[in-house]
Amino acid sequence: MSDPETAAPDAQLRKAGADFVAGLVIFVVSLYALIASIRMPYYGDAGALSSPGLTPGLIALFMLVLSAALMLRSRCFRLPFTLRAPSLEARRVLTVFGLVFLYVLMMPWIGYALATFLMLFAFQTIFTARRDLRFLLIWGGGLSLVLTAALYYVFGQIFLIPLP
Amino acid sequence: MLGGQFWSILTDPRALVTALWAITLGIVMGALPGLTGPMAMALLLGVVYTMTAEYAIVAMMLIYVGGVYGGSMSAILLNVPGAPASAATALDGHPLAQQGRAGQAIANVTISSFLGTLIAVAFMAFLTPWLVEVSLLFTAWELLLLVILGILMAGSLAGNDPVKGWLAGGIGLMVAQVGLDNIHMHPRFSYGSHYLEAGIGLVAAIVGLFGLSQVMVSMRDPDSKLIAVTHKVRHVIPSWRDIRSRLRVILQSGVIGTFVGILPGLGADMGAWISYDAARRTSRERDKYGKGSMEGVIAAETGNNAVVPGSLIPVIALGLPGSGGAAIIMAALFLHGLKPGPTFMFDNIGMFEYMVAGLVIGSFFMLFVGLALAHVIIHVLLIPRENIMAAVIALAAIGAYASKLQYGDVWMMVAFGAVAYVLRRLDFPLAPLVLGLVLGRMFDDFLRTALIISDGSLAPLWQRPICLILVVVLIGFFLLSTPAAHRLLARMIHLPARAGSADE
Repeated sequence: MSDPETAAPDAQLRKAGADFVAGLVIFVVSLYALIASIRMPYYGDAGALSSPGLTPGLIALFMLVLSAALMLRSRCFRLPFTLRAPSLEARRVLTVFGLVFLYVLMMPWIGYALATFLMLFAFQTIFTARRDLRFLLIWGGGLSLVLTAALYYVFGQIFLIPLP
Repeated sequence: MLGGQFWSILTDPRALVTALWAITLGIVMGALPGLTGPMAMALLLGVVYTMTAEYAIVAMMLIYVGGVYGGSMSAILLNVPGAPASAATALDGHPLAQQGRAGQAIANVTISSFLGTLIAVAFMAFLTPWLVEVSLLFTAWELLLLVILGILMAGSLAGNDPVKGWLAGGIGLMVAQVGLDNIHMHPRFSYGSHYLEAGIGLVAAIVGLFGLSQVMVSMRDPDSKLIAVTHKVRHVIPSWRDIRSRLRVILQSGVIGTFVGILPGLGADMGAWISYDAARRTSRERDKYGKGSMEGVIAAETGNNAVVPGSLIPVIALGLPGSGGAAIIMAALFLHGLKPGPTFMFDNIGMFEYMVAGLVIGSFFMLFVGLALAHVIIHVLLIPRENIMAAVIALAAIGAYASKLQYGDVWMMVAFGAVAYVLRRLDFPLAPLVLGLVLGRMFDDFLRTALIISDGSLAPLWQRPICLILVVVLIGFFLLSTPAAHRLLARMIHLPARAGSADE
C-alpha cells in the first residue's frame, strides 16, 4: 500500500510529467509549423504581409512560447509512462478506439448497414455486464438489429441522407 | 416583423415538428449521463445540413436549450449531472429527491429553465440590434482583436489552466489554417492532398471532438454508478407559490446567465455556478443551500438556461461564439451559407427574428415536454451505457459523412476523436479549440487584410479608439489570468474547480 501522504505529490509529479510530454509534442509540431510557414512564398509587393505563411507562422510562434512555458512549469516531473500493463480503464478506451477503427475500416467494403450491425453487436458483447450467451444473442443481437434498421430507415429513407 | 415569424412557425406543421423533436432529443440527450446537448448538436450537424436554414438553426438551438435543461433530471434523480451545466443543480436537487420531493424539484426546475430561456431571449431580441450598431464601426483591426480576445477569454475561462486553454485555442486556429488560403489560394500544410487542400472538414472535426471523445470518456470507467433515488416521480406540478416567492432570484439568475453567455468560454456550467452563488449570497435561507434548497435549484437552472440565448448574442452581432454550443450553431450557419457577424442582421433580419421566435416557441415545448417526460425519464436514464454509446458511434459516422459526402471525413472524425480524448485526459479544455477551429479562417482574413490596408503599420491599434479599448481589455485580461489573480477571483466568488468541461 502506498503512503497517503506521498500519494498526492506522486500524482502531481505524474501530472507534471504528462504536461511536459504534451508541451514537448506541441513544441516540436509548432516548430515544424513555424519553419514551414517561413518557407511559404511571398506574393506581390507587400512582402511578408501577403505571405500565406504569415498567420500560421504567428500562431506557431504563440504556441511555441506557450508550450515552452508548459514544459518549464513542469520541469520537476515524473514521466507518466511505465512498462507495466495498461490499466483496465486504458484497456477499455483502447477497445473502444479499436472497435471504431475497425468499423470505419470495414464500412467501404461491407456497407454501412452490415458494418453498423457488427459494430453494435461487438460493442454490446464486449462491454455488457451480463455474460450469458442467450442474453447476448437475443438482447445484444436483437437490439443491434433494431438500432441498425432504425438508423438506416430514419436517416437513409426519411431524411434522405446518403449513408457512408 | 417578429410577430410574423411567430405566426409563420405556429402555422407551419413542419417547423412545429422540428421544434418538438429537437427539444425532446435535447432533453433526453442532456439527461443521459455522458451525453450532452452540444454532443447531440455535433452528431446532427451534418444531418441538419439537408434541411432548410431556418429549420436547421432552430433545431440546433433547441437541442442546445433542451440539453442544458435535461441535465437537471439526472442531477436530481441520480445525483449524476447529465451535463456539466447541471452540477450545481445536483447539490440541492438530489437532497430534495432524497426528501421525497423529486417531482416538485423537477417541476420547479422546468419552470425556471423556461423562464431563464425567456429572459435571455428578451435580451437577445433587444441587445443584439444595439450591439450590431456598435459593431458596424468595426474594421478588420477591431474584428481581429475581437477574435483574439474571444480565443484568449475562452482559453482562460473554460478550464483551470489558462496556458492549456490558450494552447487549445492555438491548436484550433492552426488546424483551421490547413488548406488553400483565401487570398492567394496557396495550399498550406496539405502535402499535395486534394482532400486537405479543401481544408479540414468542420463538421467531421466537431463530431470527433464532441462525439467520439465523449464515447471514450464515458466508456472508460468500468462502473456506471447509476443508482436512482426513486423509480416513481410524483406530483410534477409547478407550484405558483414557489415560483412567485422566488421571482427575484429568477430575474437575477436570468440576467447573470445571459451576460455569462455573452462572454466567450464561460458556458452554461459557469452560468449555473455564478447564479447559484449570487442567489446563496443574497438569500434569507442561506443555511439550506447544499441540503435541499429549492431556491438553489431554481437559481442554477435559470442561470444555465439563460446562457444559451446569451451565447448567441455575440454570434449574431460579432461573429464570435460565446460557448462550444454556440460555436456549433455558428458552424451550422456557415454550412447554410450564412455569415454571422456585423452584417448578418442586415442581410438576414428575417432569419434573426425566426431564431428569436423559434427559441420562444421551443421554450414552451420544453415546458410541456419536460413536465410530461418527468414521470418516465428515470427508465431512460437507467439504459446501460454500452447500448447508448454504440448508437452514438454509428450516428457519428453518419454525421461526419453527411455534410461533404467524403469518406475521408469519417477518418478525420476518428482522428479528432482520439486527439480530443488525449487532450481531455491532459485537462486541455475543448471549447477554445472549437472556437479556434470555427474562427481560424476569419482570423487569417482579418489579420492579413488589416496589415495590407495599413501597409504593415500597427499604428491603428492605438490610433483607433475602439482598437485602443480592446487592446487595453486584452492586456487587462492577460494580467487577470495570472495565477495570483485567478486564485483571488475564485476565492471572491467561491467558484469550484472545473473538471474538464469539455462540452462547453
